[in-house]
Amino acid sequence: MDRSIRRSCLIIIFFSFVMFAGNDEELFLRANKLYEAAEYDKALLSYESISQKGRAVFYNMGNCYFHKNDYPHALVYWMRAEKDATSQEYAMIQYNKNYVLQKIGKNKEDTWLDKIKQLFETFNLYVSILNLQILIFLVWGIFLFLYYYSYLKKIRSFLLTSFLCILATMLFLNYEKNSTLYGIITEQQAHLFSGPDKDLDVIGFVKYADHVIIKEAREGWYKIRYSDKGGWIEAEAIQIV
Amino acid sequence: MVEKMDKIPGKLYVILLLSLFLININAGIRLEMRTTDGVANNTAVVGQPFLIEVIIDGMQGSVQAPHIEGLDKFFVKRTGMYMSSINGVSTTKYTYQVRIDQPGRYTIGPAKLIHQKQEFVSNTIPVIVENSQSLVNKSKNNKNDELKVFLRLMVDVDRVVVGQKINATLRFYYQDPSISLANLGQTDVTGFDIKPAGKPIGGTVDIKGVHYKFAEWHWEMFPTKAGEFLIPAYSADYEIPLKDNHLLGSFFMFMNNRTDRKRVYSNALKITVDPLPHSNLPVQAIGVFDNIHAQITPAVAKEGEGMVLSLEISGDGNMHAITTPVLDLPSALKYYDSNTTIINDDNNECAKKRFEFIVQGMETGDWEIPEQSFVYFDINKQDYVTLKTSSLSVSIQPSLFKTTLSVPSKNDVISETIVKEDTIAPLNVKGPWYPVATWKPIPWILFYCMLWIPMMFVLYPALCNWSLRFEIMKRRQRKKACKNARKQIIMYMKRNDNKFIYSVFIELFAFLNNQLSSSLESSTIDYYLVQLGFSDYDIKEWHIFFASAAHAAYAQSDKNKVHELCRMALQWIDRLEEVV
Repeated sequence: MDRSIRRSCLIIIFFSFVMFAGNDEELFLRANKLYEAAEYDKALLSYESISQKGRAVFYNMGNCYFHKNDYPHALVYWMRAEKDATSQEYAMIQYNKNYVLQKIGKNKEDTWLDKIKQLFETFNLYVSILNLQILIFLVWGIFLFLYYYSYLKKIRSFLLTSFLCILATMLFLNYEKNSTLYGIITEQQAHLFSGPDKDLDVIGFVKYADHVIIKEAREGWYKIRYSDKGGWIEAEAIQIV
Repeated sequence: MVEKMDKIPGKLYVILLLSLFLININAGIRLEMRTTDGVANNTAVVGQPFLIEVIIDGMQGSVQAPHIEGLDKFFVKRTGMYMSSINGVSTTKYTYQVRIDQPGRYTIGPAKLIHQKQEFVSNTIPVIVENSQSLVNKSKNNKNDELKVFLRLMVDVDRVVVGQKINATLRFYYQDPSISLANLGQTDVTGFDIKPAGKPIGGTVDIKGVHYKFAEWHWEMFPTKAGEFLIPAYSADYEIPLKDNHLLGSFFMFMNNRTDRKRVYSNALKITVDPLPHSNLPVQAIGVFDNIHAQITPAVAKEGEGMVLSLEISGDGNMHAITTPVLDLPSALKYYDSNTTIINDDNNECAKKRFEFIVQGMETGDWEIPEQSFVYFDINKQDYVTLKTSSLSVSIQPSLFKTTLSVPSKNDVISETIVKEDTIAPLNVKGPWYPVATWKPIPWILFYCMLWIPMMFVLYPALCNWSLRFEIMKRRQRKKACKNARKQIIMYMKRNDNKFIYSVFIELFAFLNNQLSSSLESSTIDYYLVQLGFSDYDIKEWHIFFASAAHAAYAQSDKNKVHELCRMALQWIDRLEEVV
């Protein structure tokens, strides 16, 4: 009896999952058609209706917001699509992001540090955190083995150490990107308060469509880090990536 | 007698005709003053018009208009000319409407006319001009004169500054409901900007116990220059139906309206207009204003695109006179005047004037529209007040179709060049539209542990070697070597095997001497034992034991003595462990 109940439950779950998946795919295709017909509001509604959103949905939603001239939201959705994106998708997202930043006059010249960071981020597209962890573990084991049995010559030692450093940097950047919470300012000139209260001092302003790091969240407020300044901002003025 | 009596009236009639003829032949000119109702009167009301008639009798041919002395001091308008001619002798009447704005006694005339080289001079007319109030008082005393219909002109203030709003009301009072207003006479008012009156409002009011109906008109006036001004009386023509009991009255009613038209004048009003105090600021309005509000939509626009900047001024004042303000904008923004609207609230007490400008961003970037000022003269505070808007931020972005305005050419033709830019990357139609499951990374603590385990494997021996630098660690190592040796001997003892006792001691001494077992000699062991404090006797005993062990290792040993040799070996290890 128990077995038959369990089996029927599993069948129901399986079919409901298949049905939902079918609905979501239909919504996705319909939204794409609406987008092609330049009906961005309707397309957005369709994308929003998708219960389990993948990176393609986020990317397309970003495109819709772009055409609605809502650039902060476009950036937010493109950044959401960046997670687990393939190299091709990543290139498209980067192109769009740079285009929008240029449009709103926020494009800046990359420093050499930024360029190195971008290079590592490009490498990170091909490897996940788990892959990197395993790779580091293996290289570390080889390094110790060679050391223990005194096979570690100067060149081998240099090569292995360099490789380990590169892997560690990639792992660090990948981890930082995945664990840090970012936000985009959606208001024209949002106030930066010294605490989560409007009565407290305004310590600065945060510019429209700027990219900030979220440090802490409280009811209706976010603690952010913005250009070497920390402060609190109202939740309405920011969109979390 | 009867015949005589009949002749006397006949003669009198002839004399009368002759005298009339003579009078007619005797040409002359005379002045008469009448009210606008045609009643002869020498008294006038300040600001109310009256008529001056010049009657020229007995002139041959057409007559020119005479010159009336003293008339040019007043507001005069020639309203008509009447001429009749009998046998070439004409009677001409010129009518002038005169208005005097100051009370007092005046003399009008004489009227002079030169006709056929003969000068004719008329009489003069004394005119008494009084204020309307004094005239009203007089009329009160006259019981026969009932003010059943009258017109009143009222203003909310009689002393203002230039540009200040004056609310004027003209009210037509009447008692008889059959009276109908036919016409409202406009008057010439100088020194004021008068706005059109609104629709009339009706009502009833009791004035000193008398019930009146009224119709009133409201309008706004704004003085344009300083000085003392008189708003002349307004006139109202009204019609009263005639009440006759004639049998054919109803028949005649169809022929005409059978009404009597009458005119009534309002009072005149004197208004003093003071000049505005000196100010270096550009004064834009006079009145009482609450605030000025600026708004721009959208706040984000592409380069060359238009944004609507609206300035809204709310308050009570000469809204119509507020000119379009000159905006203070950064050089990257250009503006054009677009639209101006005045919004009145329901009570008409507070109005809003909205100026709309089209703002065009010429350069990309974030720009700030600074505060815009509005300076007005506050009639309550009697001082200049400056209102300011809040500053606005706008963001100008590069346009998809970039419109660049080139420098105007000699022909002042502005040319536009359109540069089409690329747009964003296309839609992702391939997917995945669903979230892709990925392997979770190893928890960080576990990952660190995994890194440390092989490291410890390498580091432990190195650590041990390093620790041997210290005597206490060396001693511990030596004792440990002794313990290991004991364990081996106990193991051999259990196996009943004494072959390996020799090698155990060789290994032990090689370790204690820090030498290789192959290079260890018997003399080296003796030397080491002496160093440890063993006596000669002990050394001899050691030699016996060591020889037995060597014999057991390399020769056939007695199985019965295995146990004894192992016990001796354990004793030697105990002794060594104590002293190492």
